[in-house]
Amino acid sequence: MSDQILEFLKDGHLSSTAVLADKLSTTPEMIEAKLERLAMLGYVKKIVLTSKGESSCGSCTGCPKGKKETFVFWELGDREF
Amino acid sequence: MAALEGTIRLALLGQPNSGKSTIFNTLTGARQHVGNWPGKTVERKEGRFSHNGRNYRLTDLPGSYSLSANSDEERITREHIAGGEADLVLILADGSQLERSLYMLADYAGIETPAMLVVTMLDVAEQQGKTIDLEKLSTKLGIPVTGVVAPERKSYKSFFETLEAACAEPRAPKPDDFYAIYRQGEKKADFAAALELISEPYMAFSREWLASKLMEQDEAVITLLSEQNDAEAIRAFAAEQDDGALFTGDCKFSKIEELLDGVVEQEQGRAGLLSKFDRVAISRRWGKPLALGIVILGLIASFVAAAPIMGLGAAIPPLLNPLVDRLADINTAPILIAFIKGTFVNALYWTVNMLGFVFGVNLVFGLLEEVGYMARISYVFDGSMSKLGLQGKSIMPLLISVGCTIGGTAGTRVIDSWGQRLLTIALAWAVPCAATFAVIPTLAAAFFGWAGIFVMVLIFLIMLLHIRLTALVFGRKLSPKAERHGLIMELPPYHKPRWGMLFRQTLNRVWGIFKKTILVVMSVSAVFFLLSYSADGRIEESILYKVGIAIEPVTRFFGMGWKTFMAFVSSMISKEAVLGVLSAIFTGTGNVFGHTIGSAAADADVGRMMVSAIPKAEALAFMIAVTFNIPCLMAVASTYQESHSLKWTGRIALYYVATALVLSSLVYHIASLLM
Repeated sequence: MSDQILEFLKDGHLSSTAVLADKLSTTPEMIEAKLERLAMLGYVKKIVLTSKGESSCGSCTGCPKGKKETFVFWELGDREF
Repeated sequence: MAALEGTIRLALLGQPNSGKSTIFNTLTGARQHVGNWPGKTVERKEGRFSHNGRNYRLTDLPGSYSLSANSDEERITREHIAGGEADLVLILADGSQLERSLYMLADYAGIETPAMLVVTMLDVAEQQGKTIDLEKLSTKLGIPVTGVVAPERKSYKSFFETLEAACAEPRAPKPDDFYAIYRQGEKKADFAAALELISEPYMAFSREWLASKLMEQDEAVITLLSEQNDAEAIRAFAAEQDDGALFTGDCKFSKIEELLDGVVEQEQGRAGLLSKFDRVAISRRWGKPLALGIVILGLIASFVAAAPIMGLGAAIPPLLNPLVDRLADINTAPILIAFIKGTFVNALYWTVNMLGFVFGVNLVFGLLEEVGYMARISYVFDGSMSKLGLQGKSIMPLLISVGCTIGGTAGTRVIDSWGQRLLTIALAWAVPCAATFAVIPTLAAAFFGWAGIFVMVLIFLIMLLHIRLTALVFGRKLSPKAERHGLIMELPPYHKPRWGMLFRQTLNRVWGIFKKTILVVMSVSAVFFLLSYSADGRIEESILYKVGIAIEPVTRFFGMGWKTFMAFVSSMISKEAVLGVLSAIFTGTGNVFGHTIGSAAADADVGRMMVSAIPKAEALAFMIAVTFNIPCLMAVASTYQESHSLKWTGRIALYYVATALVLSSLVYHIASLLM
């Protein structure tokens, strides 16, 4: 199944873990677990984007105090498949 | 295997954050010793405990995701387990994410040291609506299984019972159960070939375990096997296993799926209903209209939530101005009284009005985020990013820009291509930030009352057009051909909003904005008050008036009088500065306003004075110009910091000033025909 996930990313598709799980007849949790393993092997990269804590924010109060808006997504990593 | 006797040596094995340290501390209490592993700088924790007259020595192994030998921690862990230093290994698995945490157990299979599985975080799993049948899992695995809530000592009763049973009849996971999948998988020939190369087990490692690690190109195993087998054949085989780790990983996950089948039950009920909504929310056809509709409804709801606070703001000048006037009774100079009114009272008036929208927008959009909908918006607009010549992940910085352009600019670091990164920054400037979402509705409500909602909808639509246009203008050079990369997003599950936290965050935000805004508005008001001052009281002699009159023939071309134009210029520094400029110009000493409009409304509040002085068409043009002007000075600095290009930072800044003026001119002329 890992190769299906990697092929999916290679083809430039967008999906969510839930939609992909549906397609591959498994659970979103299983897709996330596999993605984590693939990230450890260098095949994919996990990117967590937060709107708070960036150094360039300086003293700007644009973001709510203590709040972290996170977007988690996965893309192809440096290791070739 | 024979029952364990004497002091039993236990080893705690688990992934980071599986509750390992909590269990270690709970079991051993103060009977702990901390040192280093021999020859390593890795911390070694050991402790002792007794139960039912039996003594145990417990070693807390370093936390690791698997038993690969990628680090000192992982090497220490597996050498300790297989080197005969543990009688029984307690393998921990986080019950709230068994798919992930059972990987350690799957990687352990094939090691002949007896083991017992301890499922932790049962309370979290329960909150997630999961029921775990530990007995069934034990039957499937062939080893004892128990569950604990690591910090709750009372939950350890079954742990001790299972521990005693495991010591009485020690067992390791049956390797055949796990490796049957390897023997049937697509690389079964490679697995068989690996087994052929390994003549016998080593320490507690079975041949199957060593073969799977050989396929994973595990350097420590390759070295070990090379010493005891045909070294050349071992190295040649390993060299060909480039994607061997993918195969072994898939085998382990297949086994985990098989183990969990019928063991974990997920409560459906509410989740079923929500997944129907989610199908619509992320569908290609309905996802975007739904997202747009929800955003527009959110803006309208923000207006409603802002209304009571705006009412409070409107009451400030009638309440405070008479009090300030009484300063004349104690011989305060009229100029000082005017200064206090023009700076402090008006700054407070604008700021409180603005806070209404800060409260409304944060509450409504915070709610959307809190229930898990915001990530869906980024998901459904991914396709649009492609049309703009961008990668899907560009949507995240754009969404963050709704909070703050600087945050959005910094967020573009996740984009590898410099051109696409800069293009995303250029587009992020077109997204009205939180300050704009506070200042503009304040002005819109002052000029148009409840119809101000339509101004916000108009701005939203112009923003979409602006982004499209900007992508066309800059896209040719920065991103001539979109490099499309696949993305998999984690969409958080929907959940009930935590109202307490939501209100706390909103109020924190309101307080933060209040502190910043009052300072900016008062400072700018003071500067413009002084610029409008003249020693003889003749407005014609003030610097502000002279400059204003000189530039007005040009500013009229863009649909703005000199007063609104000056506020427009100040919006490049900070959106909040707009309120300070307007405040000073329309009250100040009263001279500028009195000269241009007349002093009839001298006692009216600044909002009403402004509305009577500025035609509606000009007001609308001005609001559009401010919205799409350079976001703020800090955003310019941040763009330079991220792009390292003065040329491109300058180009983007000039482009925004120019488009803001063009838009202002267009809106003014069209609105003049309608209003």
